[in-house]
Amino acid sequence: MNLQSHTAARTDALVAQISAEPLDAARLLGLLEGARSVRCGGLVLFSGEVREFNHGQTVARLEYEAYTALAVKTMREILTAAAERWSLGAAGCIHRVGTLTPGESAVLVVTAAAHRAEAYAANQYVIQRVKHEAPIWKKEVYADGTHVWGHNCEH
Amino acid sequence: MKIRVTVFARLKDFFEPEFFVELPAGSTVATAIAALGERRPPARDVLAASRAALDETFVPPQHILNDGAELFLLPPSSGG
Repeated sequence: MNLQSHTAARTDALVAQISAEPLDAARLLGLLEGARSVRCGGLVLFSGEVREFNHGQTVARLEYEAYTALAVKTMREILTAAAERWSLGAAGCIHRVGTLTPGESAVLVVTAAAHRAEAYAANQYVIQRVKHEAPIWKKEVYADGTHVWGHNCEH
Repeated sequence: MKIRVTVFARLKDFFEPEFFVELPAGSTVATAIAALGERRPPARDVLAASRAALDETFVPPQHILNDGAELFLLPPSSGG
């Protein structure tokens, strides 16, 4: 395989998106399917979901907003760093924006590697960095009508 | 000179989502942020914790702004 086709394959192996539509894990896996090498023995899919209770209050909805262009660029940089560090065959991250209710998925992260240890480690790395570095914000609106802007997640 | 400012999340509790600011020529990102703090003193803490971006790239406080710059101010993130 020459260098050029190798580079093209690597690019296809990364998916970073912001979505106003409900997240679909099967669709994300489908986008990465062509890149998921037969060398990958482990694939981890993480879905961050809206909890009904947070900080002792009942959550009515979450409102997510993003600076989309920079969020996608940041997510892509994080995925690229993870792909290089753990030799991933494929990596993807899609973050939802708009109004979400409890039970909905706010973010999906997929990592595929030769072995499960790398796939798990890379997945943790990606979600931690995306939560802290990508310009994406959430407003938690509670059943009593009050709201707070989310802080950096401490968990 | 005049720059356009776009703010997100809790900064929208203090400012319109997009607005223009007049600044002396040669002003830096830090100068712009200080000017916004003068305009809305209760926003100072959030402004101090925010990052700045131009052309989809994060820039440091000492970055010099050009006339017509489009400055994005990003409070601490909380995705996921």
